[in-house]
Amino acid sequence: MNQNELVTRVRRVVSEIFHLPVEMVTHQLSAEMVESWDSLGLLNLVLSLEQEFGMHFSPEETERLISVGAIIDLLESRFEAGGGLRGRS
Amino acid sequence: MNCSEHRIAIDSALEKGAWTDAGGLLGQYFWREASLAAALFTLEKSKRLPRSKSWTTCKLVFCRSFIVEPVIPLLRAAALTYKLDVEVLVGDFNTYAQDILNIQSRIYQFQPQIVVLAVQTRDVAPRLWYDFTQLSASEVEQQIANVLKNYGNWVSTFRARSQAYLIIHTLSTPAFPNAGILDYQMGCSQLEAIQRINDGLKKIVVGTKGVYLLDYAGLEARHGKLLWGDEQKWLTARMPIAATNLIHLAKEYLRYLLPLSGRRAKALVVDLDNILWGGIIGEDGINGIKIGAEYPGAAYLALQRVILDLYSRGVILAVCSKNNPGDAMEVFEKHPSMILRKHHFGAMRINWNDKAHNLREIAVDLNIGIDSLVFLDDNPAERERVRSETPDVFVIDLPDDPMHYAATVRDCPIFECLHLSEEDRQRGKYCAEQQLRRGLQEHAASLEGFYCSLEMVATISAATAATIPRIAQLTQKTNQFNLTTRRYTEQRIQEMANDPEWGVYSISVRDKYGDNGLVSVAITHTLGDFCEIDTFLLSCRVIGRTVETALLAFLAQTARKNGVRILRGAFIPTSKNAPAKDFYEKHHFVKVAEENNGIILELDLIKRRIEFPEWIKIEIKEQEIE
Repeated sequence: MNQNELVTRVRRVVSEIFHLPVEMVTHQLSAEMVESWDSLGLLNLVLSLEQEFGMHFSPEETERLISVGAIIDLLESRFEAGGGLRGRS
Repeated sequence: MNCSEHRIAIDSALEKGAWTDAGGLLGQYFWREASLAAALFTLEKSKRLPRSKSWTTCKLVFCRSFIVEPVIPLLRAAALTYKLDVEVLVGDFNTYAQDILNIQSRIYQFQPQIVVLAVQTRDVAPRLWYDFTQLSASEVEQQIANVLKNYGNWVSTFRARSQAYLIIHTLSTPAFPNAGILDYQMGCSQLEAIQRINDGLKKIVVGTKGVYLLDYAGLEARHGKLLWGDEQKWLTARMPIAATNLIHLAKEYLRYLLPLSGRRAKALVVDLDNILWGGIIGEDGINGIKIGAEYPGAAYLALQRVILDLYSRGVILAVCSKNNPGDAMEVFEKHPSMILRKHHFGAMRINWNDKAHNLREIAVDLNIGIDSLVFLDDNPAERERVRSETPDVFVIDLPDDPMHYAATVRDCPIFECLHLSEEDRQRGKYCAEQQLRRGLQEHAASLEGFYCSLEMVATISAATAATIPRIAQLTQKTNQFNLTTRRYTEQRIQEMANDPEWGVYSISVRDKYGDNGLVSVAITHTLGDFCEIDTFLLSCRVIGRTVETALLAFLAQTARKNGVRILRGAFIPTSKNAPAKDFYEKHHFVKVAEENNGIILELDLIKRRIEFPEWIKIEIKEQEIE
């Protein structure tokens, strides 16, 4: 998986969970801008990301998931720790 | 097609209003990963799909001790595949007992059809879960008794207040007992104590109508206890299930929702080559096809076992295959390894015709709606063709590897049932006998001659404890010859049977070919000199044999005896009950009113009589209702 693919997959998951068009899901999109991104929305998001990327997030990592940019940063750091993403642009 | 192409295809089908395509694409999209995100997407998009008359709605409540919310979109999205819209209300967190005990609670106001009591061992029996090593033997006994007393109380209170079905999670045991391997050596171990609660639950459920157990412990075990849960999610968010397992719980709920919503398949139609055996009979010959105890024939034998299990559960079997009939029949008759034989099948279409066309004929042969058929074929092109030509047929998607066919069919929730009556068990036999009757009809010169030759004996009786489950079942699933299509639970039938204003009658028919069982039901409501026929239905098994006239004649006779002057009936049209359309008119009823959902007809009992058919011997049993 390269970085583009990671970003595409994150944007798809976020758009599906919060019923947003994919175009609206930018790096800047954050929890306070989305009404349904509450505690249950966050749980849905974490469960979906865990299934999508086949990994598990700690409670501390979960707390950091307050924007699309933060999700991508976290996933990148997790993949880097595990050998890195290919074809970074 | 990758994910984003798939989504574009969905949007474009929705834009064009190509609803069948859109529905199919949405289903495929959801089942690709069966993830929570895909479920939420599917539900949002499917709001735009129009629901045809073959769709059903089910109102479901969760009374729960943990966060079930993430399972719900998965359940609702999965149910769409079966044309079932699930409307859900979730009780407050950990207020399951109050929700049931408080008559004012939201759960009763919601008027659900189904309620799930989703509680965990650690919540409902915390001392047995957390403190087991601190308890004396007598304290353990006390705990077991207390927990069962609570359940007994919840179930009886619930039953007194609601007619909804209740599904109770069984209690699971810890992956590691508190006492380690010592637990298994003890007199009453932790595992055993929890098992005894489950045994007690079984007794409660067996004694109460419309209450069922969901084997949660078994579900966990099926997927691996340690893999099933997510302890961190439990401790941080009170959601105890790992992300990838949410779909398995959703599918387990669906196994209950489908039969309880009347969404059960009546017949399975199977292809032959590469389904019942490996290879192609027309090319490989009877000695070349693969079927038997050894690989690769074993995969097909395993599938035949699953199909035989379905037959034993009351699912009618049929064949739809492109072959020369002689080649295929030789396998059924002569191959020593075949489990399924000719007599297991109620209809066969072995020819070179289009399969969608054959399926329509099979539905007519079996006298059931085409939406009660399930189609099993290894060829994706045939599946696609059947899907687009006959969208009401449920098509099972098989994986590429035949070794997984058996498990795929076993996993399919469309065949699930919660009761198995003697009627169900005998259904396959009835169908074979039906084929003989059809043969006779062709030979009998006149219709009356045919009726007489059947030597029918009909037994009419008031509802009893023994017949109420079957009566409720018939109201639930009879679609064709059903004048009002009112669905009743066993509890409601019982209430009506106990009420002197109401009459609940059934008719059982046997003939020279065998016993057809309980095949027709009428429910009446008498007020003064008016008797209204609330429900009148006839199983498709005996359509066209004047059994319905016999039951109507009985109703008229009984009403007249009770001083009734006017017998009133209604016909409420649905997409399927055209066979019942002229029933009352044929028996001299006169239309008196037309309402927006149907017509009302009356028979003046002083002026008109309904004669019992001469060719049916009538026995009337006026039993006391228990």
